[in-house]
Amino acid sequence: MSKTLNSIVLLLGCCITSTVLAQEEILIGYIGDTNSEARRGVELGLQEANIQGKFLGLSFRILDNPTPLQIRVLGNFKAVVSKKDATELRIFATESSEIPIFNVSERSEALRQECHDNLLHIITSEAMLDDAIRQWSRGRVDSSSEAIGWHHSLRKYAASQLNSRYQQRFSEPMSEHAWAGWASIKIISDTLARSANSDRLLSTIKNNLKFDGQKGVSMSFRENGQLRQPVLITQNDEVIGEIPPPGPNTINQLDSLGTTDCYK
Amino acid sequence: MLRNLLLLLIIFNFNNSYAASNRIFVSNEYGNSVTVIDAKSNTVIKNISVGTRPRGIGLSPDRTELYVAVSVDNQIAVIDTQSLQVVRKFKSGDDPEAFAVHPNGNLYISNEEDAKASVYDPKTGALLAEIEVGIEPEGVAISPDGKIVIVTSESSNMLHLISVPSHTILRNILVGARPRSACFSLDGTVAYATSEISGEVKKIDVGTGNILGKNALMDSSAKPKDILLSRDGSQLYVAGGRANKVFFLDANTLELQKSIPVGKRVWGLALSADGRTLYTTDGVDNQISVIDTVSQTRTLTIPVGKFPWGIVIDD
Repeated sequence: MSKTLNSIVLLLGCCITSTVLAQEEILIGYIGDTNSEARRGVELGLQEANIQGKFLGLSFRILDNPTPLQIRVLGNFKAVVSKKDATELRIFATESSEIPIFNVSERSEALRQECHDNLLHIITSEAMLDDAIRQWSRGRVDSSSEAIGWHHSLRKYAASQLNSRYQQRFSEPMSEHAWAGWASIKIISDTLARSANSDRLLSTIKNNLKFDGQKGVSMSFRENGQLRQPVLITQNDEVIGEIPPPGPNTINQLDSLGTTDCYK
Repeated sequence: MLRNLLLLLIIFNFNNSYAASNRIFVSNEYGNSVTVIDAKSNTVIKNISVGTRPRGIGLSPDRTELYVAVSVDNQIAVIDTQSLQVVRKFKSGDDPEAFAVHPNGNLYISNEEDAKASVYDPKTGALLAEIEVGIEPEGVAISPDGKIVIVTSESSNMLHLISVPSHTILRNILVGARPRSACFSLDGTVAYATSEISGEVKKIDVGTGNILGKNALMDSSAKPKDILLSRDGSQLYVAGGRANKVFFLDANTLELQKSIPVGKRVWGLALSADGRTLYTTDGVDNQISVIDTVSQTRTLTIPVGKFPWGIVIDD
């Protein structure tokens, strides 16, 4: 399979430019349950990263459940995507402090306020969802709505294209875990495609990100490592709103969701 | 008699003396129609049903036919610009979104769900070529000499420069998040592209792929989409999307010269042949705005169908 892929990439490579593109293989780790929505989201992100990469001479590969030792020993390890809980994630982040770790499943607010340098939280936190539902409910009578970071019924902002790519590939609706897995790989691959110096991946991601997560806004990270993003409001399995409401001030209001500070 | 008339028509066309109809055509994404407007009186002449989710729109080089990408039907609808009837439809690959008409008459189409661009002969409906591009291809622009086609891929954040007629990729250029539209300078050496999510316009050297400049549109709500060059090449017109404005930029420095408020969710742009009048599609307001490019003011709005997307003028 990978041999076929390589020859396709090589074949394409010949036609793309006159200068031959060296194929640099970039390894990304995944830790956690491999039969999960998060891992399937990672797989979709990988496919898309390699489509972009084939035009630039980059290829990406996922290694499941590497140990911190493997990460240190194997070259070309650029990032890890995690579906571990807070306890395991703290240990892993400390043992692999030199590379960015993307949290796609743990919503703990405390974990964010601990402000681990290399932890990036792609999934929304508990407090972000609570704040979103509170803001949505203000002045409204109904109480059956729910807040979530991603939903398979979202159609705006080309979300329908992403939802349909996931649905077609895995025959299941795209959940927030799946979206977070996909988004992690896209952030890693798009940043590496742009910056020649991959050693500064973490600081580039933390300071200069303008990520299109197909939720209509340019996404970046808070100082505590949380991805700034709108939250969706659903009712009866359909998206009925967004918080902050779309408008000229959406970007400025994103930090009204959840915590932004660190424990002193 | 009929044959003579036909002969006359053919000669008429070959002489290239086809009289412009002075009509504006607007695709209505959720109205499933094309609105036809008389450009002299600014009144709606007709609404033509074309199928589900019409988006990209363009005229044949001889202006006798109008092409409309009907996304959900996976077809291009062909409208006779005189009779204003749909005269035929042809299959165009999955989910055609935008396209550009090459001076040789062929259509270069972005197939959004397929990560492909395809080339069709609209006379026969024949597929001439398919080119693999990035994810969610959208904007298509053709250089003035017809030798280079740019396709933007929205989810791979790239411009693909495609050589004509070999249809090989010359160059891939990373730009800001969600590139939606591109255009060329008059001499074809420079390309301009809008990025919706990063809210910026980039100026690119076509020969080297180097980024020559960028303009972050200041307005944090700006979600730029269509981009057009003024007829003299000195100014760029940018549809600001959610900013509900059209931006006039200096084409050389990319400096913002003027912001003109228009309707909500402005996406599409078209410029009159004399360069004097700029038309915008204001998606959420179901209207087009008419802008005088000299006084830089909006002079008129004209109601059209639901969610106007693309716009083109036969003048």
